[in-house]
Amino acid sequence: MLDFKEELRKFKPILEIDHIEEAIQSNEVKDILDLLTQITKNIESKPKE
Amino acid sequence: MNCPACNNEIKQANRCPICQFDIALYRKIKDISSRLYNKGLEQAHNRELTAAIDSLTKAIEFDKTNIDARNLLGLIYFEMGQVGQALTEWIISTHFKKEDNIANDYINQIQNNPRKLDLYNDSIRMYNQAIEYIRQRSEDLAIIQLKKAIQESPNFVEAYCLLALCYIAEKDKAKALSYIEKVLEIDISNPKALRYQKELKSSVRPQTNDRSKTVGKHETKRTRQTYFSPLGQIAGFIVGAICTAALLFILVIPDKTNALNRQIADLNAENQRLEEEITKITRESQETISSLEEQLATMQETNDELQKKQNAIEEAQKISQAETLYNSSNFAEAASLLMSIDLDVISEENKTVYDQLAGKVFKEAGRYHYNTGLNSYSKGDYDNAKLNFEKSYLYVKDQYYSDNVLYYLGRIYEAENNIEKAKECYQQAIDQYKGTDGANSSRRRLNNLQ
Repeated sequence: MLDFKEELRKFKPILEIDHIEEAIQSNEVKDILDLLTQITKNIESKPKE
Repeated sequence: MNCPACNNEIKQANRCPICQFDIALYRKIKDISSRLYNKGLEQAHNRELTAAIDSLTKAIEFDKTNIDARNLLGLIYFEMGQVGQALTEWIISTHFKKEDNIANDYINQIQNNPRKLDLYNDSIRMYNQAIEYIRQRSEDLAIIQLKKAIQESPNFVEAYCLLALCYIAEKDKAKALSYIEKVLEIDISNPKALRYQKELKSSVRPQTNDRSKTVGKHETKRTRQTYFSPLGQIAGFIVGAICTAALLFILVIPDKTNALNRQIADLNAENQRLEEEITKITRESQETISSLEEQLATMQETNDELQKKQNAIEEAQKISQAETLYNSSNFAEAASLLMSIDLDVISEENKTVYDQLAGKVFKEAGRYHYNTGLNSYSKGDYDNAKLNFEKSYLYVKDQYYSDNVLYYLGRIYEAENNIEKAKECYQQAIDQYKGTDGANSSRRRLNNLQ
């Protein structure tokens, strides 16, 4: 049987139009390519043995 | 193409010759992102919107610059009534690609219809408010909000789902199912709706079987009870109606009453809290007003005292100035200044000084004004003469010329044809200065006038 409280937790407030700017500013858009670039840079910066 | 790490131009190599970036892996990631987009697009065509959102979100997680995936994701959010989320995706999309991007058209279309945009936003606010109401155990208020939300945004999938959940909680399975069906019309793969539908159907099915069994029994009974007369059938119907009403009264109304009572209790508590707050604010305001009034009264008293002191100082200064004028033989001005002094405000000490000075000043000034008046009178300048005689009589009344002052004043009034005033002056001279020249002359003039 459905647990009402448990189900309710799955409903989150939806972004209102007034808060779009804050949402965009607070989320730094990153993807896997960014991670890959970062990893490559880290490897590069390590001294070669 | 350019290396994404160092921006160096690469032609065919699998690694960047400058920074050793794995270009092959980069191409693979781009390829995965594109494939996820294609999957999302297909799912969107099939109206599997939630599944499409998952695919497209993954696509932009692999490649944030996948504009098509981001634009389609925004479009799906828009279709599901989540305008804020849709606009966010389109705005980010235009950030990555400013020109020749359909997201610009979408944003413009929405911005050019502010009324519609307000309606969408209102519906989102109502949905968020409904979540809050449910957390406060006010499902009935939440249902009202959600119904308004779907009225203003008819494809608002999350609102339908929450509404269905509310009706499940209220044990109204028929309504819950109708809203779930609506969700599945918009988004056939919506996991919440599918789950609710499954749960409801599994709980409804045994009842259906029972019902069929029950119906079977009734039918058997009915066949047996066909012997009842029409009157018996009517009585049976009435009894059935009464039982239904009684059941409603026992089962449904108490639930509703309890919910309403809870609401009333909450509102009463809120009302009491507000009343207490108002009383507190009023009391604090009154205390502040009383305190300010007391301060004002004290300040007024201080001000009055200071004003008195200031007046006493000014009057004392006048005495000093009058003395200076007297010493420089300017008797007329000295007398005028002394006359202007308010004796009520000066100290006893200054009063003594004043009396001593006034005795000397008024005597000299009286004589000065008498002589000046006489001079003006002889020249026929009655206005100036009258002014000086009046001043002389104001300052002193016991001098050798005081009888003449009144006599000349009487003559001036007579010349001005002010007979009553002339008679008064003559009579005053006769009464106050008996036997003097002025009194005798006044008597003669008075007799002539009468």
